[in-house]
Parts: sequence; C-alpha cells; structure tokens
Amino acid sequence: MLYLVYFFSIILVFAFQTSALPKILPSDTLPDLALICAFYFGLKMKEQSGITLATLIGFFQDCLSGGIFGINTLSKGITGFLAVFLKGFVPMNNVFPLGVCITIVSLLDGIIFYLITSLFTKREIVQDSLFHSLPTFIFMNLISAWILFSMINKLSARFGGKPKSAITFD
Amino acid sequence: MQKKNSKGKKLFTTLSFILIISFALISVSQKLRGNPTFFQSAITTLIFPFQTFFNSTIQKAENLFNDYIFLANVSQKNEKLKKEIEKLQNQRNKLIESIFQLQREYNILQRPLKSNRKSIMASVIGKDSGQWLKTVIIDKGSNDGLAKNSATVTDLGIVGQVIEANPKSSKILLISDNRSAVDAIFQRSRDPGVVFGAGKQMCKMRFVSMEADVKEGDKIISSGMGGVFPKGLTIGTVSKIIKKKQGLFQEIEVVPSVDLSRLEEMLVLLPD
Repeated sequence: MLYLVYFFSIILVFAFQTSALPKILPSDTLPDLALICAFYFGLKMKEQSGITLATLIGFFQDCLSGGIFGINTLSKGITGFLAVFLKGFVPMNNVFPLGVCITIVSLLDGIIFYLITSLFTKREIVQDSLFHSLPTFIFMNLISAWILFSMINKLSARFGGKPKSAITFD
Repeated sequence: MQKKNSKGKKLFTTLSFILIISFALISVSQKLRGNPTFFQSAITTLIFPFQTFFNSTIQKAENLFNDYIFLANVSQKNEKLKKEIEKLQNQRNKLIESIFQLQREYNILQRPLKSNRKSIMASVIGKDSGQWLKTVIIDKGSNDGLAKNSATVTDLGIVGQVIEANPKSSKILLISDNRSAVDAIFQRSRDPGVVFGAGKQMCKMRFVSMEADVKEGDKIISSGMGGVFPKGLTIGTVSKIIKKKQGLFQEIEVVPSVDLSRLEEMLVLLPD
C-alpha cells in the first residue's frame, strides 16, 4: 500500500513539476522536485531500497525529459546513495545539516549535467547560464524540500508508514 | 566491525551498479537517438492526464485570481453591483481569453511561409522535467502527424523542433537549448552563420567571418539549409557583437524573436 502511495506521489510530483510549477513560479530557474524526492527516499528507506527508488525516480525523469537518456538516472542514483551514506554520519534532525546536504546534492546535479552533456554531446556548454542559475536552483530546492518533506511525511503516516523524526526538516 | 564493512561493500556495489546502468543507458541512447523508447512513451502517456488536469486547474485558479483583483475595488464602492459585475467580468474574461487565443492562432496561421508544408496548431502543456534543459511538451503527437525534426514556429519566428513524438504529445527542443543549432543568415548582409542555444533565453551565432557586415539590431533568419526549418523564418536580432583580436570568427549574441518563456501556442510544420 505504502509503495503504491509512493508511486502515485512520484507521478503527481512529475506532473506538477512539468505543468503547474512553471506557471506558479514564472522564473527561468525552477526547483527539481525529483531530486528532493530521491534524497528523501534515500534518507527514509533502507539502504538498497532507498538507492533503488532514487535511481527509478531518475529513470522516470529521463523518460519525461528531452535530454540525454540516463543522465538523471545517474544523478538521482548518486543522490540516493549520498543520502544513504550521509545519514550514517550527519545527524539529520534539524534544518541546518539537511540544508547543507540538499545544497551538496543540488550542486552535484548541476555538475553531473554539465560533465555528461559536455562529454557525450561533444559540444561546448555555455557555463555562464548554468552556473549563474545554481544559487537560485539551490535556494528553490531548499524551500521545496521543506514543503515536500512534510507533505510526504504526512502521506506516509496516513497510509501506514511512520515518519522518522530524522527527516522532518523542522 | 565486520557487519559495518559488509554494509559498506554492499553500498559501493550498489553505487557501481548505478554507474554501470546509467552509463549503459547514456551510451545506448546516444546510439539509438531518435524514436522514443517503450518506457518513454508509456510514462509520457501515463503522466499526460495529470498534466492536463494540473494545467486546467491552474488556468481556472488564475482566472479566479484575476477576477478577484478586478473586483476588489468595485466591491468596496458598490456592494449591490458586485455580483452582477462578477458575472459579467467572468464572461468578459472568458471572452477576452478566447479572443486573445484566436488572435494568437490567427497571427500564427497568417505568417507567410514560403513552403507549402502542412501545419498544425499545438498548445504547450508542460516544460522539461529537469532544470537544465530548454524543452517544452505540446499536446500534439505522432497521432496528429508529427514526426521527429518537425519545425515549430509562431508568428514572430522560430520556436524549435520536435525531438520526440509520442502518440499524444511531443517534446520540442527550443532554440535556446544548448543542443540546438540552426543554420542562419543575416537578413541585411546575407552573411551566413550558425545559431546555437546558449541557455536562459539567449542564443549565440557562431562561424560568422570577421569580414561579415554585422550591426547591432540586425535581423537573423533561417537559411533553409539543414532541411528542418524553411528559409526566411525569423530567428532573432543581434544584441552584441564580440570580435576577438585573434580568431577567424566573430561571436554574435542573439535575442530570439519569440519570447520562449511565455510560449502558449505554436504552429508545427508537418513533414512532407
């Protein structure tokens, strides 16, 4: 049941990300809700399941995105791995360590995109636009994480899972 | 200790597995560039009704919000007329929206295309799911005759081209995307070059020779070479000219003629 809820949450998140979000936030830089979800599931679930689900989220994003297929599978898989890895070392019980971790994974997402695109398309990527939008991207992700974490926690609690206090982001 | 080690090993095995899978996907997709895979079509189709739902909900909320703003002062001045005005305002907004939509569609359909290619009007229903790419999703797909590399335009100029045609929807690569390249010429001097996407809402024209006669404000049009865009479609205007002391070419910054951040409808030129 809980996995079904997760599945529909992910579908809704993607539909929201691609259709409603650009209208609500008429900015050139938008948050990556898939990245937030991948990080959340990495923290919330057991090691293997967390990483697998994060990778699947990336695969979903690749299917919906017009970019190089596999780029999001890689970045979200690594995000899931980092979440699993970091939760063993960093106490995720307040906003500061979580914020730092989301900043790191957001940066990593941008860098992976830049490296893979330059490597596989063999075309010069305009770095200015990419790296100038990174601070806004990180800020947007932090705000979105704050909202999304509490929403998924509530959904999980409602449908049988117990939200762990370690990832409530408050 | 041993348990911790095996856990670490397991994690790194998983990481290696992700890396292998991802790079395999990237390599395969680079080789099989073109038609969407089964997964892409399935997930796009699965998400399509939700996208349409969110789109229409936001549209309704936007209309409601606009109505409120319009009527805020009126309600303070005259409570009696509020409901009547609200009704009329609602109808008016709907009519205005319809007129604007028809006007936009009319403008797009009226644009003088030199080729006699068939075309179809499409509405934007979504943007790319990732932050770093400049693609949009439209509500027409291969069922409507769209195919990969179909050009998309508005009355103001080139928007981009179809990179993936699913049965009910398609992905459009905007000219501002880093992967986009359009063969172009300056309308005034006829000097050639290639317009590349530069991210954000900008493009760059490269391979323009140092001797080329270029001025700020010059219009850039498609050359017709490459087979995707017909000749003579407006791409944008020159906003900055960069001439390096050493080098064979000058670099031109181009502002696209179409406001790519506010796309609502576009015309897709169908393949012959």
